[in-house]
Amino acid sequence: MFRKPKRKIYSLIFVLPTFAAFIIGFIYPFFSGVYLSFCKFRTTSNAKFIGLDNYVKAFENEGFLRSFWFTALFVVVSVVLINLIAFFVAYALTLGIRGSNVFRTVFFMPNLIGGIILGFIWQQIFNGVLKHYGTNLALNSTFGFWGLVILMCWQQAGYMMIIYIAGFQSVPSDLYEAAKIDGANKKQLLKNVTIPMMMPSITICTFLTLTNSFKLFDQNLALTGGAPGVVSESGTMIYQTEMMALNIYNTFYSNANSRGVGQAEAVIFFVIVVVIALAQLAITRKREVQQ
Amino acid sequence: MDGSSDWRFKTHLANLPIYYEYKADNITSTDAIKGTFLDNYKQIFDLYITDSTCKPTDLASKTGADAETEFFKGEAVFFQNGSWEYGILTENGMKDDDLGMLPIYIGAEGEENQGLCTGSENYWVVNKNSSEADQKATLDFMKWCVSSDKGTKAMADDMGFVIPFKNAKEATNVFVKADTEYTAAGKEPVSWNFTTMPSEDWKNGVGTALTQYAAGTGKWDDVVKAFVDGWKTEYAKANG
Repeated sequence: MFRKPKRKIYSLIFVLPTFAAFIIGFIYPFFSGVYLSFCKFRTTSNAKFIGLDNYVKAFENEGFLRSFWFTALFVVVSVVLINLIAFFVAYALTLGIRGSNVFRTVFFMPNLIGGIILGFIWQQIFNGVLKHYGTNLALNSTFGFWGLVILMCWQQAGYMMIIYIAGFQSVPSDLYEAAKIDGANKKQLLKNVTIPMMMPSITICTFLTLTNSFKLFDQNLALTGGAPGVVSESGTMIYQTEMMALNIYNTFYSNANSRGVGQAEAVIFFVIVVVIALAQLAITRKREVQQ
Repeated sequence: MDGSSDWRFKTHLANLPIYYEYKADNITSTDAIKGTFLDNYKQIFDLYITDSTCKPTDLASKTGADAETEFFKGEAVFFQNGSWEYGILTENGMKDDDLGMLPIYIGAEGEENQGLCTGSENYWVVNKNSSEADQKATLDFMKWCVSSDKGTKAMADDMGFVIPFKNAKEATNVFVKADTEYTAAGKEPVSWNFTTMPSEDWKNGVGTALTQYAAGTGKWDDVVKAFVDGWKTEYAKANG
């Protein structure tokens, strides 16, 4: 009777270091960040509460609204492409062809390189090719967009591939056998056995690619930096390949008086990412089957 | 022209039309620039990108390091930059005799008397919210930097600064010496008016418009719009 509460105390003590780190590294910055989005400030220790003003300005910021649609388009395209590529590469590498392990390693490796470096490497590659056509990533937003998509596919597909491979291997072989005896062809096997059994992997992979693409920053900064731009009526430059995270960063740092607006944009951004990610989790989870 | 290169044109070169406009209007800052000298700005920029080391369309992907390398390798004769480049250029084999500095002439009236562009966009500051002991220590350190032997040596030789105080070590930097010569000859230095530029956003807008103008994908009108209208918008934002 006396043992249980004692154990609870011990477990609390063991949790404490992590919990303290979580408070210092996440809870405190998060709430102070939300508070700052309602303030006018240049340094965080010297903030003045001004209410919703920053949010009004954020929604009036043309560049921010544009970056939302650009990001949304990028997310749709890259989530679909990354998952398709990863799924089929994983499928090919579980067929037992020679050198599967080497291929797995090679496909996984881009994921180990940092985003900024990747961005600059691919910038060199793309600009090297585009130079022959007299253009450049910084001059054409279509190339900038597809450049980002290619970069992200190259970096993320390998990681998702590993998750899908684990998924493929976890499908019990007796299910395939049973289906084959019932006369199922390859297409039917994939549609009615493999995919339903792999829904947990698909859930994780879409979640990861969705949130990663939405929050993309380093690659965007290094590859295009937002260029090219179009001058708006007010004379402000609206960057054509600027994603939301980069726009927030620029709003925050490029005008000393806009720190609060950048902060408000960041809070809006957080809400959007959470809503979309939770909706996606709910939808894909529903399709998961119990083994 | 990424961020490592375009600051030379969106900040330092853009200062010339601003300098002459302020001078003509007898002001030291403004909430709305008129762009009186933007045609001159266009002329000097056109001159820069004509007969350059690369085609104007390739400029968009060129970096500051590219321009630097082309200069010390002898592929380019002119290189718009400041006295702070001295260390890098001499480290890469350039001698004092190889180097000199010219004023940037843009065709404005009275520019035969124009000297080099000099100034500062940064300040040494003391935080009024810090403790009194810290404030005093900061002030003492500043004084040490510009008056002691060791301090001025570090400032002049290692960092290549000009130190406008008595007892300070004289600069060995050939560009700084050139400036002294121009001033001694009665030329009027062009002041840096960067601090009156409304924001970093304004500079980036002008830089992007310049890059696209050079490549031919943008028009000069866009540079003017980013310069004049952008100034007004950004000024209101920065001071609102």
